[in-house]
Amino acid sequence: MVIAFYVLGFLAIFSAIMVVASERPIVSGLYLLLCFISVAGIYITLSAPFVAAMQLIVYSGAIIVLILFVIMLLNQHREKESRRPKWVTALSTVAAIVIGWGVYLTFITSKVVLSHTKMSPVGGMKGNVEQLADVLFSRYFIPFEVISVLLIAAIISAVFISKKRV
Amino acid sequence: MVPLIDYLILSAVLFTIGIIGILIRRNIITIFMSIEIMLNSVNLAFVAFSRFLGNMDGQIVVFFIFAVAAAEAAVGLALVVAWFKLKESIQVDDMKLLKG
Repeated sequence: MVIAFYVLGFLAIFSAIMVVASERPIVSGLYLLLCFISVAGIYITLSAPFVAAMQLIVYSGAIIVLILFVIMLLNQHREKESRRPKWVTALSTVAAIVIGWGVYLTFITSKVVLSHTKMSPVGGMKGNVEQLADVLFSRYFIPFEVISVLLIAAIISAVFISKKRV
Repeated sequence: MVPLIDYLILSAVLFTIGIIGILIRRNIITIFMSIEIMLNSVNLAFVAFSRFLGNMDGQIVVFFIFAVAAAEAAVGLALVVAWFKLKESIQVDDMKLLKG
């Protein structure tokens, strides 16, 4: 489990860097697929099989196909020359690292985080889906129904936005 | 056994890479992919906390984030396609119609 976590974590970070660094959008899309699959593997090491399966179905199934489809539809195979000055990019990178450092500091100074080194036996590999269903269909029943309305609204608006203007 | 802090550090690193991607790339589709990476890192933190604290609510929230991310992808990519039909470009530097 420990080796699997570090291998998958390295793979996720590497592919995320390649998503940001690669010139061609289609290559970024395929690296994004690798990133999503390694995050799904990390969910397995966390013994959360339901979330891992959802990750594979929704992200690496639906969203990646949608993104790759749009890239092919728009036929933009190479990014144009940069029109921004170099120092703007450098400053943006520094700003992003400062924000990320803030997140990291919050995590490593938290007593709750440091005091948990073992996974809880509750909701592990065995009976994970049953326990999730118990919570989802009792306490979170109303949000669960509202999500379906949100999805319908998203479908209708996507069709309406991208249809031909008369 | 991997401690909780390692999962959270991985999540913070992925989040930082996502912010860098949003700030330095000019292609709207790549910016979109960076947003997906950030959503994934937040999901990872939620699931890690859920498993280590023994509370199933974190995984329920991740379930909702999946649904919202799917809706966001559909609407966002529809907007990109509509913009491309209008201007023949997907560079964010060309999106300055509201510039005063």
